Amino acid sequence: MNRIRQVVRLQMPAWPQILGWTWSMTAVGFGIHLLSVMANHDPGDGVTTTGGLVSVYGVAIGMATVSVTQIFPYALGMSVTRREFYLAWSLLAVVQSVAYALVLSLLRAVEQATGYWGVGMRYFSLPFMDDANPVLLLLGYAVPMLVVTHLGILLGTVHLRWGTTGVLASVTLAFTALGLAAALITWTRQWHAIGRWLLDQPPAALLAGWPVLVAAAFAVGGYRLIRRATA
Amino acid sequence: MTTVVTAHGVTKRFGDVTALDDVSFALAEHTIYGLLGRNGAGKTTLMQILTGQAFASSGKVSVFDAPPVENPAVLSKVCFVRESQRYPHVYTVRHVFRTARRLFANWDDTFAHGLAADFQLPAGRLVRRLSRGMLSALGVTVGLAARAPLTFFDEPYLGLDPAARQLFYDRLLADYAEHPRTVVLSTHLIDEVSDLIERVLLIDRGRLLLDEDTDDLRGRAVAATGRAEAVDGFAAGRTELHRERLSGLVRSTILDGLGPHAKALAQELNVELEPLSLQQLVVRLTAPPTTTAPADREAAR
Repeated sequence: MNRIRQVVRLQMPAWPQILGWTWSMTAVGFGIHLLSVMANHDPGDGVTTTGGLVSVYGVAIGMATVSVTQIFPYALGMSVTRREFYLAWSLLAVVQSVAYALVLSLLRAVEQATGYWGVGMRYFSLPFMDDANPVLLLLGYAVPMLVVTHLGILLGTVHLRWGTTGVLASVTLAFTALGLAAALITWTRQWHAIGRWLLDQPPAALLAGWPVLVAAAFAVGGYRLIRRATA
Repeated sequence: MTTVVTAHGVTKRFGDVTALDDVSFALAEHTIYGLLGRNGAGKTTLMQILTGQAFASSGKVSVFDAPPVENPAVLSKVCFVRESQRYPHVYTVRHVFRTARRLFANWDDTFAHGLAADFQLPAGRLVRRLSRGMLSALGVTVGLAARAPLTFFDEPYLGLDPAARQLFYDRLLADYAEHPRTVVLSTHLIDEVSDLIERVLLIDRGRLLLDEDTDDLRGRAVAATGRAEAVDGFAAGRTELHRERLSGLVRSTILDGLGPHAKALAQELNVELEPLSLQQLVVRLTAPPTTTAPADREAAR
């Protein structure tokens, strides 16, 4: 465990960049949304949901990918095993997800206290999470973050093994598979059943339970790929 | 003597290229090895396999009595300074020292900072902004200060000027005397390190050509110069590595069979014998068959 902690600290010099870019991009996205909502705001309007929150999660994918491709070759050169590296990065993903979830919960509280920034703009909260208790709320932010961070790590390990071509090919393949699945669902007229199934899920399963399984699947994939990676 | 590394039938293929072909040897504790061979001979690949950074296609490697791949107990005693080591974009020299301190059990911070001062390494500079020479100096510093029981230096001198290289050799030897360990030095500057290395491993096109004590090698080959018939007479029954003609005389590089009897024979035939330096021997052993005219060869020599 001590060794894993030392490997985690390989990431430390990169933290100012990772945090700086993630949150300044979020701030810029927030500012632009705020300006455009303000421009069209009418006190009689209800609350607009922007979904701008998604960008925080999108940025996290890229950050995780870059961090793996940048630091893994160095770690290997410093006699760190692939297993140690993966466990360390997975641990980092957990810590980062919880930390970001705390920040997002805080921003959500500010958002609600200010009457949605005074202009009826939902940015950090989501309507279906309004009834969630504090723990579930935190999980609702943290677990999807865990999913995307492990997706980023997975893409990083694909890059280690097969380079940019590998990343582009696997993303293309994933979109193809998802597209075909969607077409199949449409063809067999199953959307209604899937919608029902989703609505029947308890909020905890929907926000945390199922996503944890997705994160675990990404983690298994990334771990298996990195075990044969070379610098 | 304790064996720290054994390689048995190690083979590495990349597609239809065989980078290493059935390589077997053992490395003893507390010895400095020179891993020699031309570019593309397989030196880096071999070191990558020994340090668990690459995977052998077949064969067996044992380091400190265990396979090195994904083995923290083994790797914690190994340091591999790679010429083409990649460093994270945001890392400064100071970051490298800090992480090395945490990851290498025997790391000596005072020694590292002393070396950094000797090599005039700027602690606050980003590694990606270092010159070629400074990058080499950083690698050398990490490799020495890590004091790993098994240390590999893969062409550590690139971009280092002769004074800095001498500094490296001096510091290596001094620290080795105080903290004996097994060092593998891959290099092309063979004459420079010939006093440093105790044993030579020579690879050529993926095959291990030599695995011998440096002192034994030094006496093993000679250049015999004389009239053609005389040299023919001397070379008969001996291994001739190379032959060139210069203004009526023949100069032949001969391997082995150079006892006192050979010296007497040479005197009798009026053939002049000169010992071959380690570098010349390696060049002769690994040179491809030449197609150039003898005169060009002489000029190139």
